[in-house]
Amino acid sequence: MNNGWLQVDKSSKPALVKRKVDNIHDEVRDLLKRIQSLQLSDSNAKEVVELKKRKLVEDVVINYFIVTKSAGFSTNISKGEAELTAEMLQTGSWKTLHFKQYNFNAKGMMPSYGCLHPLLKVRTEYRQIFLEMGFTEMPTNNFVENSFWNFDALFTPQKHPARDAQDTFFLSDPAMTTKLPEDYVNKVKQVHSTGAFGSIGYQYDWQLEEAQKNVLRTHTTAVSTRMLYKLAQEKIFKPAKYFSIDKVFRNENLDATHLAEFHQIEGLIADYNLTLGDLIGVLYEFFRKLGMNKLRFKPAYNPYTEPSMEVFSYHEGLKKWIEVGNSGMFRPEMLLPMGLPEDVSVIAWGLSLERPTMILYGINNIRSLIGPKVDLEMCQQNPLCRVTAATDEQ
Amino acid sequence: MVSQQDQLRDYFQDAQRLLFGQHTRHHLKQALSWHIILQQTASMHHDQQTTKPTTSKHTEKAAKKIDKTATTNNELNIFIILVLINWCQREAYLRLAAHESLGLPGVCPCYDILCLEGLSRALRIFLQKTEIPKFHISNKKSIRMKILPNTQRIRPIVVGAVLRNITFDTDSYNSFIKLQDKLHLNLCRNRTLVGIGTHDLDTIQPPFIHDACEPKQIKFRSLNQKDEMRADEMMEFYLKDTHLKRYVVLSLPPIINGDHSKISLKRKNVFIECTAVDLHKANVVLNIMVTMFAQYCSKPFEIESVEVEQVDGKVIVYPDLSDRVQDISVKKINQRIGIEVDAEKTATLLNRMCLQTKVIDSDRIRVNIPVTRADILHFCDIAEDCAVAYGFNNIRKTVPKTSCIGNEFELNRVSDLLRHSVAESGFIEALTFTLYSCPDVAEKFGKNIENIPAIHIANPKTQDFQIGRTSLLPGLLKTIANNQDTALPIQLFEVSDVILKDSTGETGCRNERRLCAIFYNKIPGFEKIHGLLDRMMTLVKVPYNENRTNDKGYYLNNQGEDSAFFPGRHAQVILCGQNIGVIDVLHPNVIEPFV
Repeated sequence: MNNGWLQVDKSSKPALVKRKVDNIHDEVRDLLKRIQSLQLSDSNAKEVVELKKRKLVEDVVINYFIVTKSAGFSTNISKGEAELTAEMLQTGSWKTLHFKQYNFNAKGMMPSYGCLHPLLKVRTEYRQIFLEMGFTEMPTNNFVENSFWNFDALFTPQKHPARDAQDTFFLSDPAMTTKLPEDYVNKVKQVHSTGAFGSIGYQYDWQLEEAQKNVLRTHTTAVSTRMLYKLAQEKIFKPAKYFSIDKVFRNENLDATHLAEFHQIEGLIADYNLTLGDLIGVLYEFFRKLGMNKLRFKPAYNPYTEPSMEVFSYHEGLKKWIEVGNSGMFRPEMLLPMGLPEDVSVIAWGLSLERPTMILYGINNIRSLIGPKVDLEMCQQNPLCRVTAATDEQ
Repeated sequence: MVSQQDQLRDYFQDAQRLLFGQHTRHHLKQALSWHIILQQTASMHHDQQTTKPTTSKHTEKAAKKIDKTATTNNELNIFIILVLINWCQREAYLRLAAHESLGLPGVCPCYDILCLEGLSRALRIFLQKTEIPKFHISNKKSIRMKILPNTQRIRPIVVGAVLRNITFDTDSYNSFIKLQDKLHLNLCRNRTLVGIGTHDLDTIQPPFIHDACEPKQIKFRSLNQKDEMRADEMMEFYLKDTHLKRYVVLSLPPIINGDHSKISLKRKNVFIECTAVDLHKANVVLNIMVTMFAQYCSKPFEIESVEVEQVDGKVIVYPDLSDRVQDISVKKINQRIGIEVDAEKTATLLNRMCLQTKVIDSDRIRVNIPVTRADILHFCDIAEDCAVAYGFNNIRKTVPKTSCIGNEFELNRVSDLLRHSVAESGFIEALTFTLYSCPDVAEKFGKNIENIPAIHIANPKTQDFQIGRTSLLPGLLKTIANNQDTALPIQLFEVSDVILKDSTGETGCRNERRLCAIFYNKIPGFEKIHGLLDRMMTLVKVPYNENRTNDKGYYLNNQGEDSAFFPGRHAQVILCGQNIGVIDVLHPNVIEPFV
C-alpha cells in the first residue's frame, strides 16, 4: 500500500482492498534478483540495508586461501618432535626430523626442594661473623635457669622490676634449685646486702629462697656468667672471647613485633685492662661486618653493666638512626665475687636476632616469621641470606 | 653563604642570652628544629630540609610542658640546652634524658632527674651555669615523731623532714605530686616498700605518732573525699590491706593521705614523712623529696630535721644529708674508659655530673657523692659519669689485643649439618614455640598431663604458656594447620630443643636436642619418612642392622603401642640397644584436634 499499488475502500461493508494501478514495478524484486546474480557491488547501499532489515538479504563472509607448493612439500603427514631422544641419536634420525619450538615465555618446572628457615639463615651469618672474629660458642642448651645465675650473680637486686612476675616466667614445677655453689652464693649475698669489693651494695636483706626460684631464662647473659665463673676457677686466668645465639623468654605483653620467646645474640671479651674505648672499637668491627659503619653511642642502664651504652646505626633506607644493640662493661660487683683478677674487665654486647631479620626481609609482623603462623610460602621463596661488610671509610 | 657552623654559633650566642631572660616561642621552635633535623638526617643542615620536620610525640609533650612552665621558671629552656649540647657533641644530656617525659626507657636509678626541678638543675650544673647546691640542716629545733611497737610487724620504719617557708605555685606543686607518684611506682615498688606522705604542718601539731591498730577503730577523711569513713569501710573502698593511725589521722600509708592536712598552694610549711619496710630506701626517697624542692624554701636548700623516737627509745635524726666521700685514682678512671685526662680535667668533668670533686694530687681526686646520687655504688659508677661528661662519641676507639681461636659448640655444629641435610632432602624448616598449653602436649595426644615430664609455668599470662614442650610434634602440627592453602604434600622439619624434667640436673630440668620431620598428604607416605630416616643414618655413618640385635647399627622395633599413633603403623628406632626415636603414622584422634 505504501507503493500505491493497493487501496482500501472503506465505503463498503466489510472494507475491501482494491487494486489501484494496473501495472506494478517491483523494485525490491529487481534488486534481489540483481544481488542474486552478484551484480550489486555496494552492500552498504541504503536499499540493501533496508533489505537486510527485512531479513530478505544477509551478509555471508567467504574466506579463501590460495595454496601453492613450497620447498618442504610432501605427501606424507609428520608431527614436530617434542624432544631429542637417545634413540634418535643412535639411529641418526635426528638429522631428518622436525622439532617443535620451545615456548621461552613460560616458566620452568620447579625442582622439588626443601629450605631452611629465614631466621636461622640470618643466625648462620651472625655465627659466622663471631667465628671470624675468634669467638668461642657457649653451651646455651639450657632454657631453665635459676634466679641466682639469671639475676643475683649479675648484681640484679631481688626487688628489681625485671624479676617481677609480669616480666619473667617462673616455674611451678620444678620450682626451685637446691644445688648452688655455697661459697660463691655467700659472696654474692654480701655484695648485695651490705656491700663488698669496694661497693656499698644495695643495702637490703638478701634472701636465698628468692635466688633459688627457677625461671625461664630472660637473657643468655646467665650462661655468660656461668662461663666467666668457670674461667675464674682456673688457676691461671686466660683471656677469653665468648658468644652465643639462643632463645630467651620474657613474660611481656605481646604485639606485632614482640613474642614471649625470641633469640638473643651475645658477645663478650674478658681480658686484662679492657677499656670502654675497646668496647667501642669491637662494636665498630662487629657492625662493620653487618654493613654498618656509622655508629653512635648513648648512655643507658643495666643492673649489671657500668658504663652501659645503647648502640645506634644510621639506616640509609629509613633515613634515621635506629637502635641496633645494647652493650656495656660488667660491674666489678659481678666479677670480683667470682674470683676474677681485679684488673680483668669484661666488655659485652647484645642484640636480638628477630629485629635485624625483620628489617632485612621487610617483614612487619613477627608471627609470620616465627611460630605456627609462619608463612610457609614466604619461607620457600626466601632468598639466600648474604650479609655484606661495609667498605672502609672514615 | 653562611656556613652551618656560623649559623649555629649565632644561635648559641642568642640562646645564651635567652637563658637568663625570657624566651620567645619563636626561639624554642627553632631550637627544636635543629634537634629534629639531627635526629632525622644525622646532620644539622637546615638546607637539606625539604619537608616540614615532624617532632616525635615525646619531644612535643616535653616541649609543651616546658612552654607552660618556662615563664615561671627561667632556667627551663631545656630544649635549647639539648640542642647546644648536641652541637657541642656532649652526650651527657642523654643520661639526663632518661627522664620519662623524653620517652626513653628508664628503670634507671637516676632519681635526681625524675622531676623537672632536678633535671633542669642537673643540666645547669652540667653546663657549668650553676654550682652544686649545698644542702644543710637548719638550726631550728626539730619536731618529734614516735614509733609505737604495734607497727613493727607491718611497717616498722618511719623517717621525716620539714621544708619550712616553702612557696609552691601550680606547676611546682604538680611537679611535687608527680615526683611522689614516680617514686611510689619505681623505687617504692608500688608503695609496698615505702609510702610517702606530705602534709601541711600548719594544720597539725607535733609530736606525731606512728601506730597500727584495728581498722574498725579508726575514722578518717581521706584526701579530697567529702566524708569521714571508718577505716574498714575505706579498705573496701580502696581495696587494699593496711593499718592506720589513731588520733587525727594524717595518712593511711601506703594508700592515701588525709584531707585534713592536705597541702594546697601557697602553704608555708610542709612536713614529709615516709613509712617503710626498707630503711635504706626510705632514706633515699626522703632525701630525694627534700633535695628536689628545698630550692623553693625562703632559705633555699635549707631543710629542717625530724627526730624519730624508735621503739627501743633511741632517737634518730632525719634526714641524713651528708655526702659520701671517696678518693679515686685518676689513672684508674683513664684506664677503665680508655682516655687520657689529667686530675684537673677529671675533677671538672665530675663536677659537671653533680659530683663535687677536689684535686688532691696528680693522681688522686676526692669525690663528694651527694644524697641525690643514690645510684653511685662503686668506683665504676663514678668512672661512667666521667665518661658521660667526656662524651661517649669522643672516646677514641681501639680494638682489644685479645687473641683467641674461635670454636663452635659441637652440638650446634652437628645440628646445622643435619638441618642442611634434611632440607636437601626436600623438607621445609619450621621454627616453633617452646611453650604450649597443656592440651597441646598431653590431651590431644591421648596422654595424661601427669605422665609427661614437662616443666610447668607458674604465672602464664594466657593458657598458651602453661607448659614447656617435650616434643617438637605439636609445633609442626600447628604450623601445618595454619598453612592449609600450601600445595600438598607438606614436608616440614625442625631441629631444636625440648625441655624435660630431670632430677639430676642443677635446676631439675635439661634441654634435649631433637629432630622431627613430618609428611602431610592425602595418604600418609610412611615410606617417605622412613626413607628420610635411612638417609640420615647414612649421613651419620650408622649402618642398618638386619639381624635386629642390640650390638650395633639401627633397626625399627614395632612392638608396643601408643595412643598417639595409628595401630600397626608405629615403630621405635633402636640404635645399639637404645630407643632413640619413633616413626609412625599419627592417629586420627591426634590429627583432628590439631588440623
